[in-house]
Amino acid sequence: MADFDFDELLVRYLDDALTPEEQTQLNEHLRTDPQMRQRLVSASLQAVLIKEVAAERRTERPSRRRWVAAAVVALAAAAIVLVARRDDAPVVAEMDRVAIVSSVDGAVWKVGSLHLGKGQVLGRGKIDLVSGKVRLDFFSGAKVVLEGPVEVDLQSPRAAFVRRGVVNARVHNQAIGFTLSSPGAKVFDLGTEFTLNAAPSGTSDVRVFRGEVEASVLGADGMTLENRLVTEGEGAVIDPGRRAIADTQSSHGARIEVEPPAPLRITPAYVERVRAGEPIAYWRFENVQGGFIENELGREHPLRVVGDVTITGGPENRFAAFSPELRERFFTSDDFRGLASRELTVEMWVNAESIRQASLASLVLVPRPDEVQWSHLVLLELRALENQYSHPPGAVRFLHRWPPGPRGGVNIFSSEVYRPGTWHHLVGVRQREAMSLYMDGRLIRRLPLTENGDDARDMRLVLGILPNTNKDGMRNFVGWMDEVAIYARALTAEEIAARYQMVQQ
Amino acid sequence: MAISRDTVVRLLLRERSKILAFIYSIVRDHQTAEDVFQDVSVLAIDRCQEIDGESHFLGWVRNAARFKALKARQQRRAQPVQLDDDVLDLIDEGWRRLDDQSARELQDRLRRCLDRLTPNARRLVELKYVDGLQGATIAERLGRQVRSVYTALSRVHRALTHCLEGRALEEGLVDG
Repeated sequence: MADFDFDELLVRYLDDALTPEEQTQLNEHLRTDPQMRQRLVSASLQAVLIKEVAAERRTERPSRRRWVAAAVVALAAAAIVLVARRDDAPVVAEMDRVAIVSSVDGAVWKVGSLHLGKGQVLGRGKIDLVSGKVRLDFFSGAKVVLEGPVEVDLQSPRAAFVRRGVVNARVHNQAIGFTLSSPGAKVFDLGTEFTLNAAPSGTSDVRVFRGEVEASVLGADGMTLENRLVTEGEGAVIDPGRRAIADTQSSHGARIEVEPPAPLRITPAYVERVRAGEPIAYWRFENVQGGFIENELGREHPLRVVGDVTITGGPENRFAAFSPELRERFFTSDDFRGLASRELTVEMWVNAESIRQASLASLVLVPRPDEVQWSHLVLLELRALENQYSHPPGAVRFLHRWPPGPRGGVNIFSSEVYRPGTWHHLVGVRQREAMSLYMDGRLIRRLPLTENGDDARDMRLVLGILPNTNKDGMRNFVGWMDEVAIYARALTAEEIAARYQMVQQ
Repeated sequence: MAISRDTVVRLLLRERSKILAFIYSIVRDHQTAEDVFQDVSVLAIDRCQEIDGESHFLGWVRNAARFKALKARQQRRAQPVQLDDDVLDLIDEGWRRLDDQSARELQDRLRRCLDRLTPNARRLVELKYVDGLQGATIAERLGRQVRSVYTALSRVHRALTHCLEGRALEEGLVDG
């Protein structure tokens, strides 16, 4: 093929217009010819420089120094906001967390408004978005999409006030009671998906896609004057001026769809590293055979698939997907004999779909037929708002019970948050004298254990559900899981950090 | 030896165009490239301890940016068309060649090269890379065949490459 044709192929690649065949062709050219590779580098560089030069010229030809200075300020500001998200304390005190920014798409912010970045933890405050979309996960579990132009006050993990604009909400079973208010109106969620549009005229439209909401017209004192249940497929307009709630067919807003995340980039070296660590079992979730996920280490401990859990991802790596349904669905494996007497490590990668209290991994005694309650040895779970225990919202929990039993225990809660849509590496280590929780390669906390002993009974592993309460699905994990390994020894901090660093996201 | 946060910020500013170009070569969209650049900047500032001296900065950043760019790309497109992993490895050599070139100087040179393009050619690259339009949209707007837009764009790229390398601009080739 002549050079000329390659250049066209390259332009079409940059234009995202290649067919799969042409893509193969392009890869082949690039693989075999260093000059072609240099041309790709050069064309990409030109694309960026052309844009930069145009931007510079557009700003009334300021001096170069001024332009660079502006860039320095912009970058420094971005760095400050985003660096702050790493250690959330400077932005929001742990217990005051309201919501977390899950995605930002084409956002233009009002001058003076805080520019939000993905992953940023927010406290109470005002958001003023001129255009674009921002997705927030409230720590109660409500998922909200703001469509600019919109002005919203974040009031608490369970409430927001919409001054103007369109806000879509999806509220799962644990977050029922999430409230969106607007001037003179209030919409109380009863487990649902809905949209609220606070119009400039002073009325508010509510549109319910699923479930139902209780809509109120408020008086000047903020108390409900009129109320009405709005159910699936219905719309209503709340008019404080006329003190009325009337039927309407609103076309504002849209349902919130969450796509599965990109797979983790697991290299053969990572797999080899895990194997070399000699786990008892290592499940990669590449496929289901005869209702089981294969243990990479051999025939023992296959992982049984129960209910609606699926395997998804691309050709390079696949992973488990736990649907939002409340049905019973989980993975389980038996015959971990004598594990309760050993040091042990539970390692996994998880990506939560939203903030929710969700059981990731339980090691329990295999129950006798007459036993009603399950006896936990260890439990790894995600938390939402605190309820019966004291911890910051969005914490990860590692629990140890000795002797294995249905209640009590020693806990580690993380002050770090897990971020919906982000893969996190979680490791719980239980030794004779201490327990430790690691998150994303870092030690969260190590707690001394005073009680420990021997128990030769069989243990069972359950992933994605809390064995005790599975009937109502209250603590079902919703999201994605991959690369789960169980070790009959304690992984060291160095081993854990190395594994995390091998998987760059 | 690790580098300080301040050094990372300074290098991010200085090398911004080159890093953006690397990301753009994978994501092929300016806005996504900016988002990835910001993510990578945060990561670099956060993990400055891991960067083993200024000479390793661009290599470290490209490595981090590659994964983030591929991920961003996968998230935005149902069927990601992208370069094979081994090809990306090979291309890295091409990016390394730019490491010693000043981004500012490259920009100055490109500005001079752009000035030498014909108005039509100039308009074409601006529609594509400044306004971010797809080839098909440009064709529609200019009342041309899509194929001829791609042909013209490829000529302009070739001419600019020659010009950036200090070679004579082939005047006849750049009338878009």
